[in-house]
Amino acid sequence: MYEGLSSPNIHTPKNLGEYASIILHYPISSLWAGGTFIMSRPDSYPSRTMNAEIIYLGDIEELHRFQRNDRFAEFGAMVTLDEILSTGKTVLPHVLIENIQSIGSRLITRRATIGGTMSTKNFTTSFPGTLIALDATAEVKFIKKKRLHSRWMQITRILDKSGRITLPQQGMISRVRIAFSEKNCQYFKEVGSFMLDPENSVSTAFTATLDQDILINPKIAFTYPTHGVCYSRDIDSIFSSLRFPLDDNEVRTLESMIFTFVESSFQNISELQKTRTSGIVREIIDDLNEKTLTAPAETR
Amino acid sequence: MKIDCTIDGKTLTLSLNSDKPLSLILRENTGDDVAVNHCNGNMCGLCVVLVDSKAMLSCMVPAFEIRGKTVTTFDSFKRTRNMKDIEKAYESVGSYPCQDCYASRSLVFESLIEEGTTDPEEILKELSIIKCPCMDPEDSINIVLKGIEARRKRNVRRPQFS
Amino acid sequence: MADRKNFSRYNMRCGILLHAKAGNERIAELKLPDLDARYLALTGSDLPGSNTIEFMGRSMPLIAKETISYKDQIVLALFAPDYESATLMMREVSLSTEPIKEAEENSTLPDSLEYSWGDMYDNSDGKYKEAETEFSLTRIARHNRRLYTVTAWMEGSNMHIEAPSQWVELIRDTVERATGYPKRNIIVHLLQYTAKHDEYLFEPAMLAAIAATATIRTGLPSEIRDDGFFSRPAVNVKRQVLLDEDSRPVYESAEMIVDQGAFAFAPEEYQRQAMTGLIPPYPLKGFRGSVKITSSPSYPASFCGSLGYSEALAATEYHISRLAEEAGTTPNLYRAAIEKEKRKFTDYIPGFELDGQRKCTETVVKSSSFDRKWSANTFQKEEFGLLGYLKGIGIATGTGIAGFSTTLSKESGFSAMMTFTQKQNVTINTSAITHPGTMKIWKKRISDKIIPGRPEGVMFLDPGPDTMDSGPDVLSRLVASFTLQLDSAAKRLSVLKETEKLPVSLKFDAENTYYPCEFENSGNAAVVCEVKIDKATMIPSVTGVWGAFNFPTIMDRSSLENSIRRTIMMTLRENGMNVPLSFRIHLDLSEDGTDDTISSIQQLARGLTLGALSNAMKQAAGDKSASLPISDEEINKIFREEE
Repeated sequence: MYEGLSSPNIHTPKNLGEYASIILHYPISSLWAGGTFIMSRPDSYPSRTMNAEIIYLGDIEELHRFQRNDRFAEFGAMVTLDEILSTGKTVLPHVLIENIQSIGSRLITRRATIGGTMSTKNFTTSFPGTLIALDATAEVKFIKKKRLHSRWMQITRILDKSGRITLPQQGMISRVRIAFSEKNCQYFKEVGSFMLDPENSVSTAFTATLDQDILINPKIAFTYPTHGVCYSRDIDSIFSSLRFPLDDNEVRTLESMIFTFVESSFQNISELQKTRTSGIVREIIDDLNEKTLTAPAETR
Repeated sequence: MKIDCTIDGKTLTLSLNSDKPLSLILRENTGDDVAVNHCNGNMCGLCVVLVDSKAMLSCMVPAFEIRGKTVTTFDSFKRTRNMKDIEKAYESVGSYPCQDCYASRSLVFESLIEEGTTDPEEILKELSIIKCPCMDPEDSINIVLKGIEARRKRNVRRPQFS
Repeated sequence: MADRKNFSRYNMRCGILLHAKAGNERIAELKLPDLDARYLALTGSDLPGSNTIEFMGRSMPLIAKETISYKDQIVLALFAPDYESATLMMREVSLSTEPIKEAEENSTLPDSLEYSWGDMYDNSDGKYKEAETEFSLTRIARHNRRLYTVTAWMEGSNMHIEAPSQWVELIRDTVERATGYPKRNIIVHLLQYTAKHDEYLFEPAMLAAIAATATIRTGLPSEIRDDGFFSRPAVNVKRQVLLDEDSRPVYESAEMIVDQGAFAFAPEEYQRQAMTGLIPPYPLKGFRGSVKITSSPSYPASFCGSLGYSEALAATEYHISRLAEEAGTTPNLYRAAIEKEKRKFTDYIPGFELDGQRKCTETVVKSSSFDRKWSANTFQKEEFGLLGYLKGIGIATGTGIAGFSTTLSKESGFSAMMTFTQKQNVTINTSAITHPGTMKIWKKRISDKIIPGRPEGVMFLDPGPDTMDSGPDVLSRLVASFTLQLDSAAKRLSVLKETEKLPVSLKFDAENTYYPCEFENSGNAAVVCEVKIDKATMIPSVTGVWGAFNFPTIMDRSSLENSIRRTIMMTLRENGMNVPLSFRIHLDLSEDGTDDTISSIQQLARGLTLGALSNAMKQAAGDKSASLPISDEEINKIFREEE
């Protein structure tokens, strides 16, 4: 074996019970889902800092389950994005499908898992933002008093102040539940490459029901990969107070309100990220303006 | 750790670090020098192999995940009849990938042809993983379509007369 | 061919390199961790021979010794039993540097190349309208996402090197110089590669010299690997022109400044090639052209990225479009108004007829609706201001050239030998072993002339100690110029074989050294490029490219088309363009069968695509966009400033 480099031990629990006993035995270990993020970091191998214990979640049968009823779909954390696309393309919310499709090649989506995309360290993918816009919930498993507990939580509840998904120590996301949305306005856009140019990329997920000229229950989340998710109920409230179509002045006011919030959350987003955020907001507004101007209310 | 796997038809027991990427294993540990690139996380897309017949970026597959799996690199794939279909498609479109991405692009073409993907957007999305700019979108789409055609022709069995 | 490597990797040393983080610095301290006998560290002082790579009369250090000349220069090579150990150990190496306050003057650079005709008019009386244009290209210096691997091993008295390379002889020379190992005993096994520009030239030779040294020092086979690098020099072309009342140029001066990086290889050749592209195709009473090479502490471009013709041609085409703008007409119509039937004969390029170029231009102008789009874009831009309209279209037209200049061909003496054997076969001794497709065409062309219908009787000798140096295969130089030399040798040999005793051999130059000008024109082309900038994302996209290419002869239509498409795609992408789903390249290829000269497709297609793209970007994004490559970040900056 290589000088000074010990090979990490790989634990492959077959069920959550085994997972619990391993994590209790090796409290400091890395959880490995699809590995797309870990493996794509520069100089990820060889590394002395890589934890000596890796728990590979791919063999846990429970984490591969996919259930649906007439109200929601529920995915195990190890369900891959490609599986989500192939099983739920026609029934799942449009915004989620677009988010998966924006990744592009199936060489990535076949390996990336829904749980993995939410749990990357020091980097935020576009998925938490989309799940927030969809009002999704996640089941978080964590160890308390040497036992494995679980709790369903809104994604916004596991988002810390800095906009990152934060799980309890030794915790993991085991399931994600997405309600079948009846919202008639769903919009997702990712601009720039999250992996190759994170400093200039941004993604936005937006969902709302447009009823006549107002938005009901709008939700909008902006994601900046190196900063985190920017989401606020205040912004949602501003959207719900608007009457469409908006004129140029109203758009400018809305934009400045959004920027005040984005900049108070993340001080140093790049100029290009600002332009892109503004461009996406304008595209959403243009789309909403168009809808309110062209279609009769009952057909929207 | 010891890892048993099959690479290009050879059953191997490899002793290596459990998190070593498959791309480096192929370059360093298999005894043959397999021509996959390793770009250190730059997402070049030039390390595609088939793992249990599915196209994957070998730099994203850690050693422990290939236990018991069958890895096919372009070195063995190029001798298959499926590759002949792809070569025919290159010839009939009059376009072929450069030496740098020939292996990876051919394997992605293979996965698209095998799945019978004809939607141009899907085809280009799948190929977007390969960052080499040597081929224009129109040619890429045509190659897949021609490849599917060649594969169908080959798969149509001639009627047997007794 | 000699045996390829057949040793176990477990019995090998694996090497990686430490690169400098900045240029123009002095090494204050290079601190290595304790290394046991299984490791080998090589610094600039550890090479048994000379620590230099040298070609065409220029040299640079293999490993930085005291001074670091450029960012990413090799500072240390570390060999270990495996790459993991080497990588981990390398992380413990500490390099401390201090900036060099007084930059050393690079005395090896050639003087500026000047070329002129006619007397210049001082215009103090204001007789002519004055115009000034500026074209610039920003330096590209980045990893090309490819891992170069070079292996060295000994077998008996021979040193074997396995590497990808455009120039086998350079590897042998460099290894001999660095190790003192006799060149006769250095055998190179070529790995396949695709050089999109001028990569695979000095890097493989440098890696080979370092790996060979490690092999000699450890007695074990050594492999070294490193990330490939691509560097294009920064180019700036300023033109001043005096225009008559019809906006026709009358007097013109053009000054091209090229920053080659820390070291310049073949700068004189670059100057000649660049001057060829810089000379305008329209008549002038007076012209002054100069090409100056400068240096900076950045990664050197092997052959300056493209030998210079492409960039200079793009600059000239950019200039013509700016003059057309000034004249208030489309570049196509402006060109027709200012050009004559024939170009002026100069020392660099003959005075050829321009009707071939015009036909190509007509084809692309028609198929792309160029005049209409150009006018519409100009009008819309004036109407709606900068942010309202972000479309652009550009055109570039030019002729192809091939190979090295006549001066370099005479100086370098790259040659090859063709022999008709007693067994009625033809053997060729050359280092120009290139891609299988080209070799197949060569074999057929030679057999047609000497042994018709028997291409298998034409054999290129495997590389060995007596291989003749036919020069580097940069930018399809070999396809373009060597093909004609092979043809001509085959013709002469077909006569000699009847009159001389067999075997009969013929030594010939790899390049034609008898041209009256530095270059011969060959083929014509025109390219139109249309771009659009997305207002919301600031991403520049190319919506379409239209190209018309006319050549005297087409050897293999499919390969030619493929090569043009590939060059266009690569040029667009390396200059920061996004290629959307709807993007199409519309190509029109024709041959007139008049003459048998072949041009370097890469130089021509690259230069014209670059020119057309610069023009299109200028129209789409305004004055500050002229410098390519351009990124979405830079476009955003331009618009923010405008706001």
